[in-house]
Amino acid sequence: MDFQNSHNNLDYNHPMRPPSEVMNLDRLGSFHQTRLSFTRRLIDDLKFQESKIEIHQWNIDYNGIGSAIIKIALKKKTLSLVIFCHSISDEERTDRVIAEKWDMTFSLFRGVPTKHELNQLSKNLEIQEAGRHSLKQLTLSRANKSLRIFEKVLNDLSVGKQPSEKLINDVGYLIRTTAVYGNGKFGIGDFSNNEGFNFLEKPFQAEMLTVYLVRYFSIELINFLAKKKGGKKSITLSKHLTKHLGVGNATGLGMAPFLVNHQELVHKWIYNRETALSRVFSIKRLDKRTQNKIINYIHQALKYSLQWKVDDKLQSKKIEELNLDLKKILQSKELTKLLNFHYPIKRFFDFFKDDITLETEEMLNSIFIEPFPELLEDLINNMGAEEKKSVLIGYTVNDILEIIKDNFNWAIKIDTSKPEENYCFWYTSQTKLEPRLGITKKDAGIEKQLPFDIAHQIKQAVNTLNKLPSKMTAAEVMINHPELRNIIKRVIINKSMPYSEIQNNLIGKDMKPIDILRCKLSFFGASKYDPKSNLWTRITLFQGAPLPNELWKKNINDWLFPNLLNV
Amino acid sequence: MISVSLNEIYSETYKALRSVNIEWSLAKDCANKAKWLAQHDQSFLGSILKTADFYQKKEITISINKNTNKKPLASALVGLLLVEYVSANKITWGGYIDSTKFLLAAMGILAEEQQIYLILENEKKRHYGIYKR
Repeated sequence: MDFQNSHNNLDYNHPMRPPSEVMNLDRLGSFHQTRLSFTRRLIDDLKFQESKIEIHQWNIDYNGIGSAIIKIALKKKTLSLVIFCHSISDEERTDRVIAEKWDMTFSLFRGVPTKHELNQLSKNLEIQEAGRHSLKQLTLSRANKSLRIFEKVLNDLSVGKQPSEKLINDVGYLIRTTAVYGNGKFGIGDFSNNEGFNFLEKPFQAEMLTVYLVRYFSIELINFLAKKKGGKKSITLSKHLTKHLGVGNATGLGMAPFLVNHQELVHKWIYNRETALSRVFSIKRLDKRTQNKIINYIHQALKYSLQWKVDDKLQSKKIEELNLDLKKILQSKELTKLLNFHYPIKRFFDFFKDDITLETEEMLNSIFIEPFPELLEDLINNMGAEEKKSVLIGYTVNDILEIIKDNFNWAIKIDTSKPEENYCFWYTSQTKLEPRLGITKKDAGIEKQLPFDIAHQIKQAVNTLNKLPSKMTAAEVMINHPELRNIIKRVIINKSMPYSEIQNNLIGKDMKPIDILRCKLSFFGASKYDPKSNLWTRITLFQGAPLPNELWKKNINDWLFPNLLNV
Repeated sequence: MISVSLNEIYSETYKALRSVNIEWSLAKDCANKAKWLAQHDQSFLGSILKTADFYQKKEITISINKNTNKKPLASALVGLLLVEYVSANKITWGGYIDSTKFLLAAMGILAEEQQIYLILENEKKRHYGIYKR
């Protein structure tokens, strides 16, 4: 093992950043993809599994309508992505979750479907949530063509021309998924039954595999249609453009409650990320090769950032500042000296930290982690968490009050009587069961609000607990005050999992759901966040990722901050 | 074996109970117990519907002190709270219980997660327990 990347090169434990520094939405909303992200891990797993991905069945006509099956052979098992392409009008095409028609519908399937199963899938995938689904289905998904790019790329290829790099770079994908459901949702198979599919037990691997195969399908489809349209004149998309195409995704509020509802998992993700940072900050020396790697990643990040164009004014400003920060770092005469010092990453970060934005800090953190996969192996393979249904017994009123004093001071400090701290409420829509945000003074339904008013619940709990005997068990409190069960459970979980709670008022006026989405999406491995409002964003997954026929290559998983143009 | 998704059992149970304004955490507990029952090949759907109906008609209670034969304790809702309470306070609790299978589910969950094994005894002194295999 290379000394650089071994635990022997760490001779002290750099302290982890405390939850009070990490778990606020400004920072969580500045996270970027890292080596821990699920897209990156999927590529490692596919390589480990010696995966063979091929078109098994192709019944698509020259209009792009029909069905296809992509087969993926793993070491011991086979999976397939079942695809149906439908005819819809431009007016029917929407990214919103309330849509009822899509260009394409998909399902990741255990094994290869029989004729009968395919017939069932053809009737039910098209109608998505309303369909009757089989336990062999691991995911349920749909996508639309990108109106900005699909036809243009098709026309260019059909007349023997490669599309412009700028066009490919500006959009970054041919099709955009609008939902990828997994783990038993709407009656598909639970992941707990993944007998023989061990690697799918890791969080979001089935969903990520679906998206990866959707990307492959989108490329096969455009090449197929170009040939049908242009015949001998047509060409296929060049390799470097192909690689820069990911899959788009439109993500809205549906994703936000996950980070509130899954405390143990969120703790694990953030804890592992912070542990990774702590380890790289503890590295004593870097050899020249690794120093150069880090500098190259910063150059790469700058290129990526210069090509990251969005309409949102706030995010545009953040990107401008990021560009300036990265240029400043790269132009600094201290850069190579700092990387030559003892504890170089710590020295580097300390030198610049007061002059850079959160966006830059977190981009640097992704870069710092990148050259050291061997240091992170245990973390990368341990991103799941078991979620307890019961509340750990053994706590008293006094214990709960002490944990609140130590870990929930952020909540106590919020004046929950102010109107701006009660500005909105979360609820679930009746039709699609999707989370929504209502404005307290405007919208009806506050009595049905989801229990995301954590700061308010903390205060209510403190009021009640202060009136009870200090030695009373938490279990006795909860059985007499069931309305406190939710918050007492959260407090007890937070005691041993301090990164499990977002430390902001989630119903306050200043809260931006987009920050919650970005945090989760960074763990997915998203790039090119393109906020369309405070409530939803477009992103790209697998942009720059290796193609299926490259999975066997060495160092194939080095694709942080992909960029296409020389800027 | 019930061949439906556990995730769907959880979300549909949760949704049904929230629709009659049952407290969030009690609805979640009940949904987890329904999942546990499904995993152990036990039926539960009728009991969920009855629980929602009885709750609305006030024919069940969530009080551990005020339950009666006519208005028993809704173990579908507070079964997990009850077994946590009994375990934490190291006591024997006696009372009238509706839908006992949910109490067994709660005992099962506690046994699996916290290795605490409880015994349930009916008026005829018949024992039901969940033990480690």
